[in-house]
Amino acid sequence: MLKLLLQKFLLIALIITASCSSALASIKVIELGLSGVVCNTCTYTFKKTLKRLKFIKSIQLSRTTGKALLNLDNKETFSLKELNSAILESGFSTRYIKVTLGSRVTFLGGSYQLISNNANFRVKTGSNFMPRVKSLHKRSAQVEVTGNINLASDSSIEIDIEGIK
Amino acid sequence: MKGQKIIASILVIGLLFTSINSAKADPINSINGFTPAKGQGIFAVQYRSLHLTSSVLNQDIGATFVPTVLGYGITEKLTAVGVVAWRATELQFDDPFSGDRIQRDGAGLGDTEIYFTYRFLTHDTASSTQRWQAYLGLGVPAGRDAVSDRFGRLPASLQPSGGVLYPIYGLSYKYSNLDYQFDFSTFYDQFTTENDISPGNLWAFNFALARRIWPWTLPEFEPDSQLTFMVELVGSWTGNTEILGVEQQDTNGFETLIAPGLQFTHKNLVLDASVQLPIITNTQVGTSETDINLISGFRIYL
Repeated sequence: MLKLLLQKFLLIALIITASCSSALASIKVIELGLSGVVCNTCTYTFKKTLKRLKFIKSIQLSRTTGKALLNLDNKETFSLKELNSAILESGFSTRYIKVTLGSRVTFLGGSYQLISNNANFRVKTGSNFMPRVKSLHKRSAQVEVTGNINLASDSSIEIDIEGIK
Repeated sequence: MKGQKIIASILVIGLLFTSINSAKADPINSINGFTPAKGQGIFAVQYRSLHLTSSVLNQDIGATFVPTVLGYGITEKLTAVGVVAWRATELQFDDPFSGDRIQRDGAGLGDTEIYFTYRFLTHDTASSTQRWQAYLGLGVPAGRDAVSDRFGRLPASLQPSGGVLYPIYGLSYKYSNLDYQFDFSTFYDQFTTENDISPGNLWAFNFALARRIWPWTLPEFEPDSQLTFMVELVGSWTGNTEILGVEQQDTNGFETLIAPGLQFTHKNLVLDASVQLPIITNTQVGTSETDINLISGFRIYL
């Protein structure tokens, strides 16, 4: 009897562990191609401004690669519009954004601005969640990701917007 | 006694004003280029110890200047900056009548400067940035400008506050990549008249080149701290002072100083120190010349 109880306990523990692993695996990550974040205090300013957003849990930033990885809080609603505003308010800009959202998330679309140092650049939009180019100028573009979605299943979203020459 | 008062009144009018008030043009201690984000504040305090001399009456001038700076990002491009300064000045000179060494000094709250900076041009890449900013503001004589000692009222240049309003115009350019940083800034202070004295207008400029020396090679992920070596070229030109509407010839001058310095950054804290030494001095007989300036300060991004 005791052995059976122990087996049941171990099984329950295994299920709980597996669920946790699944939650960890579905952490949402956003990759940003940064522009102008080249100094020590720039990274502080950039991180601090973005950390005001509830859905951002942590930020890893590399000046050498000009890239930031944002780990998002699964419990909060992710808003592309709010992310875009915070980046612009930090005084810096992004060249591209890759959004990978895991399961059970609420996603609010919105307008996103890309800045390029190259004249006459184009915007490459990809992935399974089609972004639309709202306006395109020589060095900047406004890209609209419409609609709000609520992923209840284990499906995922990928949004890939990149400014290219 | 009357003769001493007159002499002490006309001494050190000129470059002392320049050397003390050109704080805006020093990127090692300023917030040029990398302005705060929208809603972010910057708090900075400098300590400046200046030493000047003049051959006229063997003048020896020591000044301590402690400006406190508060900046706030109204938008990501527009920043409001307020500067309140405490200033102490000491002048020693030979009395032409008795031959005695005479000392005059004054200390207190100096001018308050309020100005706005607007970043009107930005060119960012993944590994570099170029930023142009315009400055517009006003210097207000909010401090003490009527300090007296046993000889009477101190001359204007020894008063903690200049006593006059002055519009401030400026322009700055910054180029920065992952290893190097280049700054240029220039300011013009246009002094008005108060108590029948109008200090000569001030034009100041600064070139600065900086290289991160620790870590020499930037690691892939952000280091919390870094050390930067910087060398600056600081120049200033002061026009003739006017007293009772009469332009005082020989009170203008031009100086260029070289300033090697170190800057340590840890997250949102910046500590720096530099030494300013004169390399070009073209001053008139009646004006003082810089011997050495020591500058240190800190800045916190809030």
